[in-house]
Amino acid sequence: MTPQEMTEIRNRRIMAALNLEKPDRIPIMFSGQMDFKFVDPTMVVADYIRRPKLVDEMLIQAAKLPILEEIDSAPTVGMGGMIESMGSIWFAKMKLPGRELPEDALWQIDEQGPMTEEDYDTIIDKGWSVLKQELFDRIGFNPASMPPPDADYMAEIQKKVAELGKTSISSSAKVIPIPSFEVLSAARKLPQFFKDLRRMPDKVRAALDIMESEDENMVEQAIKDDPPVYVFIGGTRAGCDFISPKVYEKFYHTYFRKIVKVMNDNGSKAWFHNDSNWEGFLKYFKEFPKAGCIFDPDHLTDIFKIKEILGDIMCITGNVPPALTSVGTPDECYKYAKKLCEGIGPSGFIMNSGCSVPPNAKRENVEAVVLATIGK
Amino acid sequence: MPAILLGISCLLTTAFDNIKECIQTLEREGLRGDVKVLIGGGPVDEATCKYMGADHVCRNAQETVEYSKKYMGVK
Repeated sequence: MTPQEMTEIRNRRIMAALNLEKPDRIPIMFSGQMDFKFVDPTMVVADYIRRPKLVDEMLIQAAKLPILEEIDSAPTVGMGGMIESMGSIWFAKMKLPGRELPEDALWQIDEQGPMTEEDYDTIIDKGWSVLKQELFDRIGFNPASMPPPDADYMAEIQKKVAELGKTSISSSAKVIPIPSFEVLSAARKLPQFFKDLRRMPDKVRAALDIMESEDENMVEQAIKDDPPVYVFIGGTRAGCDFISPKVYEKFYHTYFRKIVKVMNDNGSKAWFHNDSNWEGFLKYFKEFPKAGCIFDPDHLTDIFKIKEILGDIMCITGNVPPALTSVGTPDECYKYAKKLCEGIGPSGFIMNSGCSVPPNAKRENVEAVVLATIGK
Repeated sequence: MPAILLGISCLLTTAFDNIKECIQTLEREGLRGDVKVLIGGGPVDEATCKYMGADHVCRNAQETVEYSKKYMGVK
């Protein structure tokens, strides 16, 4: 079978799951990019930044390893040069392995909180994009100074990825919308932002209206430029252990409601990557169109509760706990994955890690999850 | 007054071994018997609690307060 034929099989498998149909087998799409350690255990997380091309080569090799070759998703390559600028999403500085952190530590986001109370007026009067640039200036981040992607290298490495015969279905590479609530909480820092919600709720809501509107336009344009099957949206600071339903309804869910409509109207699905416990808020997701979204929780939301409440409405992906793949045994991983396959699958389910496969995951544990999913 | 409760939170599985070492240090120093060790944060669960040698997993801040009040007999 050619790589192209294999890709077509995997694409059909994944589209069936996304459309709540029964695939030939449950698809496997792991998040995380640390599989390079399965090929060379002497490599460290710092290599991701220091030797990004070697890491890409190792990720491609890892995708060919026995058992792991059954994973349907393609390795995420070409990311090494982007880590440093990732902090700018949160108006934060990055602490990197081998620089501020030990060689094998995961990079960390060091929030700066450059936004002031007065800046809400700037958003309302001049727009979010104006303040965003000012905030970048305040933290000393200049997007124009970042090295441009090496187009020749990316074409070469993507050709190697295509030869793996993995799925070609992935999230939009052009836009990763982040709920405006989350962006403000990072710009202000969380404790200050929560005080704002209490002290000046109307002003915060007015600023969110502007930000949400700008994101609607941005997402619509990005989808029209390069239509993806789905668009990834991250949610991390709005679980029901964290904020009340009243706050969620007034300040957060408005974003999902507007953005999902834009995505669905333009032919894309919304991939909710929702970390922390969302059980108390699952009822709000029942309003979305059937097969228009994907719910991708970490292990803190009870995935069986998601199945019960949203199983008829959206594809569910998840949720092998990072703790299990890092300190559990292959037998425990196998049993957990089997339970997911039987309880959440076979229709409308994609086997995935809960958030990401961690950098200290054991290869034999990840293999056990794959074996359980393919029924061996 | 010696501590009655010790709460340790983490967000990364790569911190598990550090927490385990921290709890082992308490044991080595003869302090473990006097203190209840609670762990919390995104990646921890019952299996992690056992791996680290902690006493209790707190799923969220609210549960931590409830557990602590009960343990200390606070109404």
